[in-house]
Amino acid sequence: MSGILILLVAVPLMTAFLLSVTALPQKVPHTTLMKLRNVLSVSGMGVLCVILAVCAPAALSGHVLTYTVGGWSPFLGVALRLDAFSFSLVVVSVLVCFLALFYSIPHMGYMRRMGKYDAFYFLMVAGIVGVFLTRDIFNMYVFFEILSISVFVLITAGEKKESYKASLKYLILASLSSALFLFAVGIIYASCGSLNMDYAAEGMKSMVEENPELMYVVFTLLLVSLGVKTSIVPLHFWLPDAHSIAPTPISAILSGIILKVSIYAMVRLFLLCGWQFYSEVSPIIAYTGAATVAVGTLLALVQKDIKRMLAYSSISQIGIIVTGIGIGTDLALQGALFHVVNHALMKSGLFLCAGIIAGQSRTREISKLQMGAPGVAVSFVVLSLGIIGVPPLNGFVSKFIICYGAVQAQYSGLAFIILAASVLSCGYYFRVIQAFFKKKKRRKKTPMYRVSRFMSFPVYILAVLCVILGLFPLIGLQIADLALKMVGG
Amino acid sequence: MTWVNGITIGIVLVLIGFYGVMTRKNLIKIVLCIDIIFLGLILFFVSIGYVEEGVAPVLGEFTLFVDPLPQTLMLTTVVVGLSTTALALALIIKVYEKYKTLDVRELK
Repeated sequence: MSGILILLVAVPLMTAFLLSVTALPQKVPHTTLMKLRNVLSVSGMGVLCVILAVCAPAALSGHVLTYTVGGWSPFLGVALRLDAFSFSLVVVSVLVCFLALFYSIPHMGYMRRMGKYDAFYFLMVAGIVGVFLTRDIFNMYVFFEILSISVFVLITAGEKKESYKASLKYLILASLSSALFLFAVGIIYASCGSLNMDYAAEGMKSMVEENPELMYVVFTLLLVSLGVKTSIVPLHFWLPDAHSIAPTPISAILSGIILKVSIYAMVRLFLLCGWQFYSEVSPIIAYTGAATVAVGTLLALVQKDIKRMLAYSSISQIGIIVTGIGIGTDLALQGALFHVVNHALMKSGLFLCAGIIAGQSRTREISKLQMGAPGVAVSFVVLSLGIIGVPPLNGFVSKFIICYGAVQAQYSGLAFIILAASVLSCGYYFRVIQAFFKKKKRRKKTPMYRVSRFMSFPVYILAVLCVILGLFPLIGLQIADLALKMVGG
Repeated sequence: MTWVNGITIGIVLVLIGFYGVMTRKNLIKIVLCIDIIFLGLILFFVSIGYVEEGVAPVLGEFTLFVDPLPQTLMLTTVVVGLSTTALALALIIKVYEKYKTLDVRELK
């Protein structure tokens, strides 16, 4: 049963390999190759969904599935582990990647003709799922690298002039952050003797007592390196470029999933040190989180480009999640985990909407946007109300729980910042919605921008999921509660 | 125990690399500085597993042996560093084609 876990990583890797082979044949017409690629990618994602469905009953009832690769003892070898926490995040990321894949079927003409896009897309999926599943800290670093290298390539898939610069900027910063991560891994290995999280946790707890200075070094290294990847505030400057210049489906995944991957790593690794050490350092995390919220919101207000605005809005939402993690009470952590899922669904939906709307109005400038297809505009309104935190939607529930947890833990100032940021976020989302309702100018007849069904359906699905999670928040909260028990235990 | 060992030299190399990334203006030099950081880390890791007068734990009789795990881990890091550098240089070629400069100050 638990042997199925290795398939979660192996299937996307295998699909990536098969997809890269489809670039080889010279004489086959490329329409056939494109059909082959579509079938391969959709079936690869389908197999992943089936495997997750098989694992679902065990993971959701609180069991832990573990698998040691190659049969080595877990002390030395690499172990994979699926519990409620990793399961919920794997499900959300596979779902969002599946929907973004549908979106990119009619979208990515040129890059897909070369056969590169899909191969790197699946490498990225393998990296994402790998980070969520692995139980070995060094292995986590390797999966992070697989993920980032494929993302660097995917950002340039639009072949715009600025995309190479944005990708290079991201590459340099991400390499520096993984160097810091590797340094922390080295210190952990030297003092604990094992890189498996179960054994390292014991070693780190004794390290806190015997050698607290070294523990602070490890904590700082991990905080800075994961801080670059999650873009908490003094380290956020690469994000708007990379997220706004990447092609739309990739922006959706970058903002929706890949930021959450490093948040997952943060939660997993920081809680290894034990609650005693964590409660000492958690105010630092909480206050940097609050600074991230403030900076992200204020910068989003002045943006003129819709995708840049969404990218800054991501920074502020990530800040809310980090604040929730930093507050560190059960309630706040539960809210933060729920907000991770919610933000993944809402922000990827918003980016996909923005791609369609910007394509239809032929500009990304907010003041010149037009409504275009009404269904997409309605989904945009629903998703942005969700992010702002209007009651019947899911963003309200998780933000409310984080604020409630903040007040309970005597952090009323942080709750105030989150609420103020939510009010200010009306300012920048309503600016877009306002642009939908202005008078239509007569334009010269230009060929219509065709919105294919493949592009609009993912958006509808994400919007409907947001409403469902908002009306029945207990589904999400119970899973978040279960996930929290898994992390603590 | 002397201060001149693999661990300290590794850390010094990492710091030199970071200094280089922050001060150099040429993109290729920045990428090479990242390589220096990774080389320092590899030296650091391999030195963690060092045991005085230990032998490699391959076939045969031995009592005192060096820790082989960091060495195997570093094989992976070498590969990762190689692919990152290759990709970075490829991107630099593209950036040079589009902007006709490698100076970070002019790329703004």
